[in-house]
Amino acid sequence: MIVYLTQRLGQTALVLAAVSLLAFLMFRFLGDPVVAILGANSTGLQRDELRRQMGLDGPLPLQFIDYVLGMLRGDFGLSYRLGQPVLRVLAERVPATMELALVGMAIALCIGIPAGVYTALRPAGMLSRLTMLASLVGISMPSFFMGMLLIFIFSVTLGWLPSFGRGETVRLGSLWTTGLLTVSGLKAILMPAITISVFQIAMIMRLVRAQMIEALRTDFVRFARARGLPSRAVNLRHALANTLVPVVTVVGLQLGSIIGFAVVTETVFQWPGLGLLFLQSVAAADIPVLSAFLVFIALVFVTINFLTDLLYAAIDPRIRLSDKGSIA
Amino acid sequence: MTILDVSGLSVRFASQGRTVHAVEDVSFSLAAGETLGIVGESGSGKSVTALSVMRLVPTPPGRIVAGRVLFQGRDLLTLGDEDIRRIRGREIAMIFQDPMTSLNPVLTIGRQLTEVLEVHLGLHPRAARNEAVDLLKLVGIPEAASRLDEYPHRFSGGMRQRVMIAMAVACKPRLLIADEPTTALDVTIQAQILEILSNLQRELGMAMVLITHDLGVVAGLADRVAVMYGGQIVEEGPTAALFADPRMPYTIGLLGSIPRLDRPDDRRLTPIRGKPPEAAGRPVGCRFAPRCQHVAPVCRTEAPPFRPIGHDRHARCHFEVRLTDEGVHAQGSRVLSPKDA
Ligand SMILES: Nc1ncnc2c1ncn2[C@@H]1O[C@H](COP(=O)(O)OP(=O)(O)O)[C@@H](O)[C@H]1O
Ligand code: SF4
Ligand SMILES: [Mg+2]
Repeated sequence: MIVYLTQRLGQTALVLAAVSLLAFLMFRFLGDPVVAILGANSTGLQRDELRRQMGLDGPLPLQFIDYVLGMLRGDFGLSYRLGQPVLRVLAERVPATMELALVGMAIALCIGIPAGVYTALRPAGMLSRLTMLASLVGISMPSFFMGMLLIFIFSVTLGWLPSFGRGETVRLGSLWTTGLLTVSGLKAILMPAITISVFQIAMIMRLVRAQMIEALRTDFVRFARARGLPSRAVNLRHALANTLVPVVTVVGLQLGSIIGFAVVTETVFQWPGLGLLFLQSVAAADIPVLSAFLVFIALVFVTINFLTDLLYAAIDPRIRLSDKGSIA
Repeated sequence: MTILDVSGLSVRFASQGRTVHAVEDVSFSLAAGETLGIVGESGSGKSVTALSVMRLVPTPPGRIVAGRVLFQGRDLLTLGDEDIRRIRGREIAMIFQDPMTSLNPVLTIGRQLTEVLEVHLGLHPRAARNEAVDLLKLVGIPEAASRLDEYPHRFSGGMRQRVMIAMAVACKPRLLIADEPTTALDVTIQAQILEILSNLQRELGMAMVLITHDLGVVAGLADRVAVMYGGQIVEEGPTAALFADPRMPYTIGLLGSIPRLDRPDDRRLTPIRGKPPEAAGRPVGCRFAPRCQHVAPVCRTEAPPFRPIGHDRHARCHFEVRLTDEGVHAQGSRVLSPKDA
């Protein structure tokens, strides 16, 4: 376990280092911070002076080290667009996106897993066929369309739910704001979360179904039936429990990509999260924010990966977090 | 007292647009405490027969199309799902061929043992745990108490087969069906498992159906033998009588194909010519005809009946074929024509 953890941390550090390098190169070469700060009609002398002050005239490796050290202190520089520290800009947006992603994924799991189990158990049933059909629609429906459909129905026509924004938020500690504790916040998150979850529901359901059909054919499920266990125990304790490793893998990856790439949904609902920030930053060529965004996404994926590895071991005892280090 | 009485059992599978007659008109019965050996080549319908008794034939593609399975007087084929579930594991238990895949990899063996005890006997978790330890001891697993919380992958094949047996007999069933319980194991371990099975059978007074393609296993353990070929039982009778005096050409060939130390060298191995039958489509006449040395025109047109031959024995052949010291002879002509029957 210890060996595994250290190895894993080593790999993680390596990934993060590589991403930081990318972020640094972007930061250093894509946008010239000096021009951005001084304005386009500054003189060359002024620029050189500022460069020296900012330590941007030294050799590149040193600058990279500076950049990483700054990063570790939470210093990603100033946003060109907002003139605020990048960290603060991110911190304002991260909770919105995280909550959206987590709620969306929770909805997807709550619907996708039971639907997958059901369609696996009754492959020929009418309801199963309908569900499979619906999942095809869910997989192929673009999220902007889904979002606009929901807005049209629940905001424009019925007027039940707000069509944009996050509602009222409550501050938790110094970094986090949550919309999950107010009625307006809950109302606001409903449609974007559903929009995000539609594709995920369809995918989780199809994955669980395929895995479940496989598991129901195994010898140990047959043996469980031969021992006269009730079908609930056979289907859930024996079959479903054996489908969870791939499900956890996919859910982890999907969660990462929802957090990182919820651009469309956030735009449709004007959700003040990272996706929207990303768009605004691209439009303004706000390089410091974009490079910090890159590092943040890498951090999210690496963390999720780590957590899923731990979950594997909890689910399947054959997966040993031991000397082998990696998980097959 | 008859505990299991199967008659006229037929099972079909729909497979790639064809109908496979996996089991056709199978009948046998078993007295309490007795052991029936079922032998036959792979694909001859042994497992499907056993699964039918448990009502575990996968449906679809399989379907039990005819027959009766009386267990202690009740027809299992007409029971409701919940009633048959209560019989499985409690009154009739079954163990399978592959111990490596028959245990759930994500549950401890303790959990897999106690769940049966809790479901069928209503034991509380603590009592079930104690009982589980005793069961593991019963099948000869050392340090039983400490192994309860381990997962199956920590056990060797032989140990897993012991665990599977412990799970099967947890509720002291009246009948144990063992489907090739030693086929997947090393020879040295096979003997141990067979010994455990026969000891358990004696201690618990269980009847046993022992499926195998190893005639040696049957000779050692079974009171009666049923030989299956192409989905049918082709010969059936007390073990000693059947081995000493097989009456059906397939059985004769089968016995001829195991080395016998008590016979002259030149007759030690008489492998049966040809391939096992295609199970698809219903063949006309005797299923063994394409491989039979004694085949006559009638064999290809009329299916031989499963008829009594001597005391307590049955065979499925038109002729009275016997193994004599001079070789195999078909004596006389047809003993009983299908028209007479
Ligand atoms: N799940 C299944 N689907 C289709 N056909 C099957 C299935 N199980 C068994 N069969 C058919 O039933 C026949 C008998 O199989 P089985 O009873 O397993 O043989 P044995 O146990 O004697 O080796 C096989 O020839 C096979 O074609
Ligand atoms: S009925 Fe004919 S073909 Fe079949 S076993 Fe007897 S002799 Fe051979
Ligand atoms: Mg078999």
